[in-house]
Amino acid sequence: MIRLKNIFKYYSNKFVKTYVLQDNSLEIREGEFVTIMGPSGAGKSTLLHIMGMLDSPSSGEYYFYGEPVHRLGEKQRTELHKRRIGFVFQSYHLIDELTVYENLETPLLYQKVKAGERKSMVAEILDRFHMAAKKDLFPQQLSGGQQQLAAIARALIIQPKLILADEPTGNLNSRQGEEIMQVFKQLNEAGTTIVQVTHSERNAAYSERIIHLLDGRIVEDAPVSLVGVAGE
Amino acid sequence: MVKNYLKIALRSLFKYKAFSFINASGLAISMSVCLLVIMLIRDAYNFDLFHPQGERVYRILTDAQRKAGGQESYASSPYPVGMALSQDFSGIEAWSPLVRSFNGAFRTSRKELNMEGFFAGSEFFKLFGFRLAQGDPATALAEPQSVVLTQETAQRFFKNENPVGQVLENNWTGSLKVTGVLEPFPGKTHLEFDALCSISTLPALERMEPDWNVTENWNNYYMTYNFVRLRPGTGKEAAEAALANIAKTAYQGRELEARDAGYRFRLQALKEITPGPLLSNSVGRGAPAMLLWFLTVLCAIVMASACFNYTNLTIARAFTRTKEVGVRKVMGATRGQVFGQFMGEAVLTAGLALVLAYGILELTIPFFKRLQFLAFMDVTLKMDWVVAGWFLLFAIATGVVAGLLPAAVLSKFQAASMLQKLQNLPLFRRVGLRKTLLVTQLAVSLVFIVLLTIAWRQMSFATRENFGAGRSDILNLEMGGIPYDKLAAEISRVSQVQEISAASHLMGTWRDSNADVRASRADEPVPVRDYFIDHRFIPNFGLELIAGENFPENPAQRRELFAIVNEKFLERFRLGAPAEALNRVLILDDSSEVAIRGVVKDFLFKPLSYSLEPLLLRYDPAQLRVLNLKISGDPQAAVAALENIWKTLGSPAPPEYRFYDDTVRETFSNLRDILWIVGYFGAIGILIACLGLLGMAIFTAETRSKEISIRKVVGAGPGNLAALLSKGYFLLLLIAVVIALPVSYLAGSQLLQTFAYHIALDVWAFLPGVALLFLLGAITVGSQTLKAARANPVDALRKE
Ligand SMILES: Nc1ncnc2c1ncn2[C@@H]1O[C@H](COP(=O)(O)OP(=O)(O)O)[C@@H](O)[C@H]1O
Ligand SMILES: [Mg+2]
Repeated sequence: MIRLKNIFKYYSNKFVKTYVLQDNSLEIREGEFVTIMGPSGAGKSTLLHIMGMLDSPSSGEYYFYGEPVHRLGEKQRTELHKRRIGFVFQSYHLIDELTVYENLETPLLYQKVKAGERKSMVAEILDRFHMAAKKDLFPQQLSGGQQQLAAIARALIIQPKLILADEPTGNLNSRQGEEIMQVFKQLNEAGTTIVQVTHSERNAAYSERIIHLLDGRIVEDAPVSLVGVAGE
Repeated sequence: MVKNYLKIALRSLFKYKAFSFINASGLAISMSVCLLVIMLIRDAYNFDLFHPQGERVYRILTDAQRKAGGQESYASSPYPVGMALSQDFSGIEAWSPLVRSFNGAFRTSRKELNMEGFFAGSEFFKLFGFRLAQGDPATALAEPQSVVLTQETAQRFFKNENPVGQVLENNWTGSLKVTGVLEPFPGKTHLEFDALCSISTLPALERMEPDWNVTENWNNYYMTYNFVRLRPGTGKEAAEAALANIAKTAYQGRELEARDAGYRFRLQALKEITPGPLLSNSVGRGAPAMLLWFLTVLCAIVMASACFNYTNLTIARAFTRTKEVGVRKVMGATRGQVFGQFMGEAVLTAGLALVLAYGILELTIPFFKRLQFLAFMDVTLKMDWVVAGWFLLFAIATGVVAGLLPAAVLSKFQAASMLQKLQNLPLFRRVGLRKTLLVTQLAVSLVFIVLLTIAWRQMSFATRENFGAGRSDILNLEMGGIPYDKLAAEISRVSQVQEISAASHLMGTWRDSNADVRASRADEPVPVRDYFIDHRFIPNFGLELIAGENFPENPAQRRELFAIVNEKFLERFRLGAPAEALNRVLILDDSSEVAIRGVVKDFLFKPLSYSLEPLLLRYDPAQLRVLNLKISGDPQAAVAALENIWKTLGSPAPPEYRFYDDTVRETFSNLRDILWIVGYFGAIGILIACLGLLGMAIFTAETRSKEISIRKVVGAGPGNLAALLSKGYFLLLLIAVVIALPVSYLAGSQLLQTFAYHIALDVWAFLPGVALLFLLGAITVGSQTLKAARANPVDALRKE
């Protein structure tokens, strides 16, 4: 599903180039549940953004379902990701000026889904996350866990093939975090590919494969069972 | 989708009330004047739209080539030129000359009233869209001694009687038969008249006065407006070529006006008359195209300034929107969609501003209606659907211009970078653009204020130094056709009148008259401004004779004998010292020979825009038109007495009088109106610049609130903080001043060049403007910085 080849990412500041990602290659197959771990500043978010086509690598090749993303224009990339990739962020990133309902509706608007269909899709997802009562509230009126649930609902409403989650439980207490992970687990079992960034070993344990990043390089890429063995 | 955007737009408008207010009100204020100008322009294009096939109607213009070089364009042209074109050129469908000077007092057996109008050709009604309520358009102006009246004039003369067939008497034209009554004019027109007299009446009048000829005089390009309608398919160029041919044969070997080297004729389309170029001898009101351009440019400047504000504030505020944009991009919004969203918001704000602007417009229209020159231009400010359409278009255009830059900037970034820390965004490292915009605004406003100061001081200077300024003791009375000696004798009975003199027209006004002067038969004639005065004029106005004597009183004079000239005149004609010049003979207008009887010391007899020129004072009681009454005691009583005496003189019209210093003020009324307008624009410009400054100050105070709090915690006082926060603005103001001063100096000198006599550009031209700018800047910025400096530090820190 995802194939990265020799990906570099740097920021140039006057004459100095700061490398954030250095020569990373990686393959993720459909149906996998992958965790990316590593210290703060290692480049995890950057890698995730590149996979999600929100950012482009400085060099390297990226194939999504065999499509050479690195050769596509911004518009085509948007076309590609808006139908198949759902994002979840540590700080939720709901639009403050819109209600929960309107936030959920937004991705469908960009996919030009018809009004009637939109309505039923939003209603269905609200039911699934038990948020129907909260649909007319603004994000600030919700607790952190509820906001993250709304954000996940928004990511799922387009029925993505891939979910990219950047520290989705970072701002939540452990009970709320557990709830989110349960949702991910069910989604994965139903066939959705999930890539998450997390610092928590417990969250990592839900996944099947762990990638370790250090200073912009993949230093370890192994199934959870092996990591677990190594840890013992 | 649109609904979603609209929701976001409205909610963020409400959420950031201060910014929205500044944005919308800044746009609204400047929009209101632009709306006014749109109304004005729309109105200005409303002239002469009702003529059938009006697009094929043209007026023949004269370009008079001067011997001295250069040319002057006249709206009028010689009568025979129009006639020759209509006879010799097959492409003419209809021709109607309109000859001026059909005016004066007209009598019925019961009434005497003044009328003004034209002698009009028989094809007048074929050419123009004026319609007759009574009478036959084909024949109404065919026979000599026929007159057609407007409905209003007919009413004035005949009340409810049938006017057709009635007779009007006039001393010059004799009896005229009313052959038709016009319907009310179907729309605005540059042709204004009370009555039209058949042009076939003219030849008889010309025979009575051998000196005066219109219909056969190829050199009289002052009296006639020649209108023609070309046949379909006939080009303007072909007609102009025919005109060139006519001119070539007609003027070969012909003696021209003294100052002229030749004439060229061209056609001006009817729709280009109003608004149109400034032409000598033009008739009718209506705004000249130049004025419309001038106003449009002012509008553009003010509007640009308001759009700058929007751009500036929106970009400054972008940090509150980057997250939203980032999220939208993650959700799959394309760059175009984000761009569209921000454009939409700008247009929505502009729409809101339009509503506000319309309110402001309604409030300010009465003020503008008071401006004299609007009335002079026959402007009616009114709303209709077309104007409303233009308003809407204008608001949309404004929104697009204002929103373009923010929309482009905000849509450009990749989603990932918009979700990151703001400090990393290149947008926020580049405050240079915003500062440049702000400095530009401030500089432009300062240029406005300085120019206004200069113009205002110059106008006061010119008014103060004008001939007749401060003479509130002199009341000028139009003689209204009453003979000079009779009127003077009657008026002298008013006890408050100390002195009476008379003149052909008033000095110190724009009114002009010229005589062609030669010092000997061999010389080329030179046009010199002349005034006819009586023997009491010079003492009454305290003019100083430096040689010779005043005119002797000679009411029964058969022909002119003397002239009095000024020093400049002697210089121009090389007549030597004043005493030597006495008794030298001058030849005036080829006809009369007069001897120099006296020389007056040079004085400014024209408004200060003219330099001091040669002056010819002449004596001919028949040419006197206005009395100068020196009043002592109560002016009200004098005026009342005057009115009473006037009633006994049997004049049809009420007396027209005015104190000299009022006339002087009137002389500059157009300039004063323009100053008001520029001042209004200037005030708006400053207001907008201040709003921009305010917006920036609010923004800075907000974004630096954490820093301020920390400084407070470590012991900075409000004074220190205010200084810290306003230092940057002070620098911006300073830069604006440094830019604005040379610009306004150059523009100011240019402005003053239009006056031969003008004030010096000293520090007082600039200081008030600079002081005002700094004062307003200090108030605007100070209010925000003090607020920030006073705020409780804990509030700001807790938020972080
Ligand atoms: N726009 C940027 N300009 C310069 N450096 C950046 C920018 N964005 C991220 N970085 C740097 O890239 C590195 C990796 O960032 P990130 O991928 O967010 O790390 P992680 O998510 O692993 O904590 C960090 O050192 C960060 O400072
Ligand atoms: Mg991160």
